[in-house]
Amino acid sequence: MKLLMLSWEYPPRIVGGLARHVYWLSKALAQRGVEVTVITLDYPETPGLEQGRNLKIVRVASHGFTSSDFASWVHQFNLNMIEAALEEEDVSLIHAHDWLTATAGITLKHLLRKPLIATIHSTERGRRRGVLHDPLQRHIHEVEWWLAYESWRVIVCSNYMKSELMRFLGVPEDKISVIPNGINPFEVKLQLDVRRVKRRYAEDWEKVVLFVGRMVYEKGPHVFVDAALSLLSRRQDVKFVLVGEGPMRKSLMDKVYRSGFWHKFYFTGFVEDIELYELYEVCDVASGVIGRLLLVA
Amino acid sequence: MWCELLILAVTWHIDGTIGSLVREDSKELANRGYDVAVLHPWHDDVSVREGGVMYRHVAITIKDNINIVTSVMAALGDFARAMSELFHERYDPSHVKLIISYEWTGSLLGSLAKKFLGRPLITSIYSVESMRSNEKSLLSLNIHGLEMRFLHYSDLIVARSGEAYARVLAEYRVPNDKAKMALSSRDMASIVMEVLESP
Repeated sequence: MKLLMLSWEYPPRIVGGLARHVYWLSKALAQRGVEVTVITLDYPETPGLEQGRNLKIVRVASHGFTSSDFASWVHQFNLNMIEAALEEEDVSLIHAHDWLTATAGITLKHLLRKPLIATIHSTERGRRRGVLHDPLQRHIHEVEWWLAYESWRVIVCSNYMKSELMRFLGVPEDKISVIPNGINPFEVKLQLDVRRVKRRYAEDWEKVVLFVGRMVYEKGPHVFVDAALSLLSRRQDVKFVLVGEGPMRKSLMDKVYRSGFWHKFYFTGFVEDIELYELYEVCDVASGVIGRLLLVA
Repeated sequence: MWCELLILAVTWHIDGTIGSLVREDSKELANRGYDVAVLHPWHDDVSVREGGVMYRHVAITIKDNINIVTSVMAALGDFARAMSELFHERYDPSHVKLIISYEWTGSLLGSLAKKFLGRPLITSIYSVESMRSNEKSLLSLNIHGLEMRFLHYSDLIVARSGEAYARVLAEYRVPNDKAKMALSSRDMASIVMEVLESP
């Protein structure tokens, strides 16, 4: 069985959680004997073709063409993905991740006459709090609908996303499979001096609360910051570390600065995996994909 | 019944000046004994035969678009669906001898057909972006870039006017031996026949 997997990010090109998701999924499938070809975008100083046991990574050009807008850029690199995919022989199944590879996934489904499945990690309507404001957002929404419609099955990572697909894209319930994102406890075995690492961020008497995620609305960094400021008004023995990049980062930093609690926060931006694992080790509370979890914690 | 010799024409425009060229060229080729199938956008997904030419309508799914580039590129899946049906139920893909595309919009879709079928692609160019717009907007640059890409991906460019011919050579650096000019559908059909008869 040969699986063609389409994803716009794959390590070392990491934009959000999708790269890690596709990396571990493709690796696990290859270990189970499935022949996997991942078609993804290029990255500086990374080979265009990597061939391992049952796992082939093909990186196509993400640049070298003018794009008038984000959607045009996405469709153009999809065309490069289609061209690369048509070089593959005996494909049994196509797996597209998010609308960013929908054009390639749908086109290949019809040209190769092979089944298409999709994982939809989030929806445009969800990202925009239910309201589509401009032509780009409406375009993306429509492409997401089409991807779900053309797919034989749609995978989501939570029951919340399942309900979003049913409400926003009209996907029938029995077409959706919920497969939560996993963790890999064997990925890294750290030999850490916890106290030494912790002292990079906090005093010994302080607790460390960690947020990891892109600084975008749907990840809830604003909820995290609001909760943190509320907590700091009652107790001072806490430090908050926010890992991740995104358009909300600057406004949240400004908010923290204006609150007078700026010395209680670290906005690290993007960090390497090793530093992230260290932070997971030393923190007292971690907030992952959904910032709202902090409130529960 | 499957025909022996098929020319596949791909166009984004079926009305107006380009649409007239598509219809006239196809009719001329049909009169010379070729079976011509034309893929073009429409509101349904059916086939209609007119004057020896088969028009395969392609229903377009994505209606909310930002500009012409996203409209055409988002329709790749629709054209793939139409080709899939055409070559699964009506024609043996090995019988396709040639693909003709019209303008950059058609050549974008025609390039997909070329890659899929492995047949030569002729692109008919009535006008290039610099003839249509004086702007230096991002969209205009985007279209110019796509024209550059697909003109070079085509095996032969047939300009439909003297100005288009001159610009294809000068602005897009298409080599002389890869560009021809056809001022009528009769000229176009003769060029097509030449290509089909060449070894």
